[in-house]
Amino acid sequence: MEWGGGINLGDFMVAAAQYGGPLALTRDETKFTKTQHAGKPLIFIFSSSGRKISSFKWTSGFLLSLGWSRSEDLVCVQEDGAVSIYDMFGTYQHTFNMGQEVKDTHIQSAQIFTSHRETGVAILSKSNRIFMVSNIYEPKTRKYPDIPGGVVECWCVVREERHTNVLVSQGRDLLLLNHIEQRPQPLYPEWNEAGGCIVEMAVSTNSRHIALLSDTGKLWIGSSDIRIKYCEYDAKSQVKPKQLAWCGTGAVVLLWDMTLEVVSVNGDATSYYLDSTSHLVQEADGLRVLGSITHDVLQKVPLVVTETLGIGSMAPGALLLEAAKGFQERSTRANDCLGMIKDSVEEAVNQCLQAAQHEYRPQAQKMLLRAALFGKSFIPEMNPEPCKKAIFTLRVLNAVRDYRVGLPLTWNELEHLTLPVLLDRLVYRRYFPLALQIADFLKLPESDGTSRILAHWACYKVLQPSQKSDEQIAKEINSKLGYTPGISYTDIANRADQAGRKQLAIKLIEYECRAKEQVLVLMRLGEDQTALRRALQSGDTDLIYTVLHHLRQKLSSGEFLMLIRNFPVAQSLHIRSCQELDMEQLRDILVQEDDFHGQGLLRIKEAYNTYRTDSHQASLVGAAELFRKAKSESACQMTEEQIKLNKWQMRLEESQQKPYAKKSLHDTVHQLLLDGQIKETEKLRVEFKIPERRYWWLRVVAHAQANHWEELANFSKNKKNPIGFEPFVDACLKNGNKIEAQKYAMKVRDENKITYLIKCGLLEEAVKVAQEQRSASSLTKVLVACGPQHQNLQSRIQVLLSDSSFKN
Amino acid sequence: MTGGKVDFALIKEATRIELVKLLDSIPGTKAVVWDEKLAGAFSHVADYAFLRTHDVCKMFYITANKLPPSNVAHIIFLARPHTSIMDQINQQLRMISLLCERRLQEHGVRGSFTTVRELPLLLFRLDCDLVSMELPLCFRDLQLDSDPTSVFLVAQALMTIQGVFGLIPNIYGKGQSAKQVYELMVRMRREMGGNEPQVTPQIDQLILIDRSVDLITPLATQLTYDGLIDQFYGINNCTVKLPGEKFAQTSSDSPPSDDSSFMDTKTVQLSSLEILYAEIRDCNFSAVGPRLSRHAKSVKAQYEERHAAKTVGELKQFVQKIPQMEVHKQSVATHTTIAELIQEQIASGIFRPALQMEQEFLKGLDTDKISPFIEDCIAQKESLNTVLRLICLQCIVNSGLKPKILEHYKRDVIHTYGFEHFLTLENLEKAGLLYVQQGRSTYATVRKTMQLTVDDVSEHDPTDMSYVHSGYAPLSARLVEFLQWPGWRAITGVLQVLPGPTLTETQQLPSALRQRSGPEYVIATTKIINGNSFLQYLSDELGGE
Repeated sequence: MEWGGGINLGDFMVAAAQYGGPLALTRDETKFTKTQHAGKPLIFIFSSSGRKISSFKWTSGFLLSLGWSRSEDLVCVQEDGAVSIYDMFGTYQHTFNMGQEVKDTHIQSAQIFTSHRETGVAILSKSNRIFMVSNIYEPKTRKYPDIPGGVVECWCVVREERHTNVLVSQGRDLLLLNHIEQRPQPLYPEWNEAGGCIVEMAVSTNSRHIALLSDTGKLWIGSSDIRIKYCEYDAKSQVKPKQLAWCGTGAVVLLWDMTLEVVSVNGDATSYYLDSTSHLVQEADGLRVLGSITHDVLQKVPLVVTETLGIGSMAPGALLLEAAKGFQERSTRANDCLGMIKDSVEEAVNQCLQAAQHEYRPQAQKMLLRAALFGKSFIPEMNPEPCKKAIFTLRVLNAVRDYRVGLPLTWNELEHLTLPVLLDRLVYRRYFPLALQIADFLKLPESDGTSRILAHWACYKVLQPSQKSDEQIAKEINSKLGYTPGISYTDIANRADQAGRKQLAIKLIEYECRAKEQVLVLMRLGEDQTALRRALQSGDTDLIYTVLHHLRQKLSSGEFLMLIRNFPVAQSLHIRSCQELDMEQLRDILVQEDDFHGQGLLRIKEAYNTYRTDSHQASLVGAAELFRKAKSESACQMTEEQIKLNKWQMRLEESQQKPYAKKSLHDTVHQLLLDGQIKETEKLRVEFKIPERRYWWLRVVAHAQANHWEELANFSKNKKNPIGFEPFVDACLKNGNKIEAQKYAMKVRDENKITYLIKCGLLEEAVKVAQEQRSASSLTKVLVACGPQHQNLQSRIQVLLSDSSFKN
Repeated sequence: MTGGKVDFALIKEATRIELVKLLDSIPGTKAVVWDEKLAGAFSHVADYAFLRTHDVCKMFYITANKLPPSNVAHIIFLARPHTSIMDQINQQLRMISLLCERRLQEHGVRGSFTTVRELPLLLFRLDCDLVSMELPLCFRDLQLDSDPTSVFLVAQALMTIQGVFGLIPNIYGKGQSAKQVYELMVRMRREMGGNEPQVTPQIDQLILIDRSVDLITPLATQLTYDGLIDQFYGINNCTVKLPGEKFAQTSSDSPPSDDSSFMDTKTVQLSSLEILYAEIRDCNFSAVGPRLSRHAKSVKAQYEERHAAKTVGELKQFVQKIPQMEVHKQSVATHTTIAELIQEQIASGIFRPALQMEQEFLKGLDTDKISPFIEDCIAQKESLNTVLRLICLQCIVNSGLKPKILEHYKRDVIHTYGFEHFLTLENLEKAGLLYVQQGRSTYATVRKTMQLTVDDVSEHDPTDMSYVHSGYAPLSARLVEFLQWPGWRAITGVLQVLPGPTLTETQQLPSALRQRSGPEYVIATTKIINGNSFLQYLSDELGGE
């Protein structure tokens, strides 16, 4: 042990975590020892190899019991029922209480037990009541049935599937307490001779077996439900042993001061003598004996090891080992031995592999592995995976068993614990390089291995005080981590921020590639501009709005607007939201930006949001003014025209007593024409410079619609007709006046004449025109239009068509 | 129905899973209050029967009216994220609270939302090779409000597609937004870190085309059967509402609808599941007639077979075919009626002359003068949409109008249709559909190199895509075609002329891609548009509400 032998374990309260976990030591207050420090006791934490990890001063009440949780946190139970959790480095985590009753009555004794998934605490109060918290991370106190009065000799927690039961020995009775029954159930283990009372009991790690020791020194070993008895052994000692523990599932170990007695479930016993006061740590497949100078593992030698390495063994594994040795020595023995296992080479290989797995000395491991590989070369089709796994895993095991790391794990324990958990434990102990090397060596996927380890490292790194500048630290972290998938710079930055290193956090969050996380952290850190910039880069408008909202609440309106000026996309998004929610703010922005055109458009929108004619007109006047300022001449002109039109319409409404408002110029003129107000329309035409073409159309359509045929005819006489006579015909026809239409049909331009004549039903004329044009296609057109009543015409056209002088 | 190698049914499935996740996370009976605009799109994902299996027992629309009382455990509001809709929900809830004020006081509950959750649905499958994001205002948001939300959503949707079909190794694009989308995709891929989809890539090329690269095509009239139905009646979520009287005879054998208001419109489901529709949907309309008549004849011939059936066995075979024949007959009848309706629309009004004008513009004829036809249209107050569509088309094809011409058109429009359309004109200018000419027209080069107009196009038996517009091939589609062969390097001149940057990138893939023969295209869009809807989404009529 690295602590150098200066420690007498007998003077200390010792707690060791399973799976080769850390040890916690504190001066045992019930013993008289020479102490250097008076007052509050110290708690020391060592690795399994005795290397000091940390120590801290215990400042709370009387410490009754120490233990470790599954996740290697130290659990300290005080006399008043307060349970405090510390991590391996002595950092306080949290405290919970076992309840008021426990606080009032105080605790006699406590047990920290690990169930399948979690760690629990059970206590026996001084009022003989048992209370339990089955998960220390989610403490909920449960009370067990009352025990009758009298001294409790000993008790223990027994898991039965999902339930947690408690066995209590009281006088000559053994009682089972569980949740289902209201009162304790008496149990009757079969003793060879009755009469003793049980003073000590131990449950195996898998909770299936139990050992009971009576005050007469009789040891009863059986199933944990007391129904089956495996054997009974007479320890021949009335002295109560210091510890009673299971070695795996095959044997029970009794520890007196310097003597160790191992009793197998068959009742065979062996004794060992120790050099110092020791402490037993029960493991799933063995037992660790912790002494002042040494730390031993006591384990039943697995069958495969005895078979392979046993002297004179004729098992295939042993013969293969022999053959391999012979092969190396270039001896014929190799051939002889191989010949003997000709048919069972595969079994031999497996035996060698398994034996190697249970060996602790690298030398022996190597020898066995070599033999296995030698044997494997004779079976080409054998699956190489088991070999590979054994070799890789043994390397990892040897590495963590090294005293500098101090994690004495057996092969089976590692199988149970799994590699990722082992890596976590290494990371927890801050063996980052080793963990990384293992992850690399085993080629674990990045998310399970490298990136997880690096992330932990980075979180640790930001908490360490350093001479380097924040920039340097951030760079250093980034150079190690890069953009490894699965690394969250947010977590690291948050950690740095929690540690009060805001600048470092800002530097770190720069490396985060998930925009949402990055922006939210930046906002929390008060880096608003950077947050906005990053949100904009992400393109996520939701995120941009989030930052904008945050900024608006934080800054004054003026500051806010000045800020977002520098970010055009942010500004347009803000304008967008203003359009929906806040017109006044929008105006402010446009004023600030000297955007007269935009202001003009806003005024126009306003004009149409009001129902009052005067304010409508005023808004338009304002808009026109703004357009002029903006040099938007066409917009200005159009607005001014609209203002003018509004005035005209008001005047017309007065004189005609008809509604004109909200009519377009076209509709106004149209209405006036329908009413026969030609003078007024002329005025409007001049005033609004209506182009001739449109004016003509207007008049033709309106006159026809109003059946003002005379007016239409007069109008058609005007020499400067820019639209031809087609519209005249169409308008007449549209209003059902074929006769009028026919009047204009002949005046239609030549190229359309045939079509229009047909439209008006003037088929004879159409034929005449076609004849003049000497066009066969026109004739065909007419022919198509002919109905049954035009038989004469039809035959005439046919005759004409047969004349070849017609062009097509 | 299964599509080609890439079937967007998977997208639909993914959407459905998201919806179910949301519904199942809320235990108990539920009433769903729909945003009306979403309901249609959602009907593709899950119908009422499906929702019933997830404890949805009532469905309403979000309106300003009060919700009818119901005894469900939860009320879920499914809405697009718009403030105006939130106002409506608020109103709807307030009405409830007023009604149930006493009860609320008894229970001491304030009527409020328990949770607001995001349902990340981006893509709606419209057909096996077509998904739409149903974002009609995408172009408007980008061009008028410089709101890049849709760019982000598009990038997200493409990531979703890549999540289902694997990473797409080659990305090509044209236009500013295309570039932004690509950049965001790269970012998002980095954000995902190592959690990339472990799917074998099934799509080997992604072509991103920004609408602003090709403003011509949406302004031109599509002449396919599908396109014309959309043009005249508007297809929404694969259904179209048609005037009912024409259908009266055909649907006489189906039971009369209870609601008399349903009599004057008939809703027709348009889907490629219908064999006949799948055949004619993409045909030029002039080819639809002959095909329909061929089908009508084959239906008749099938019925005639009954005379040929002599033995009982043959008769049985015939009888078995009857249901299928009935369906086919119904489908032929429906589409004949639709075709008739369209024919009427085409014959009446200014459809034909406007189409002629459009095709002249597309051929680059007289685009630099005031068009008398447009003037006459305005003078006769024809539909504003048609007028604006033609003006914009002329403007773009001419690379801008001379200031005087533009002024003239604008004034004409305002004079005739009213000052209310002032903002619409502003919007069109801002969106780059109307502008003053700067420099020489580039359309001629683009038209020549890309063979945008084809003179001798066969409408009945098309060999070139220009048949869809009877002579004009959509620029965007040509871009895709040229990428396939001879490659964009051959048309650098055109790419320089078109707005926005050009993008050709190769994403690094974890594994090599399998070689494939012959391209097969699938399409993802923000919204299916036509000339009418495109401009409608850009218009702002003052005092309209």
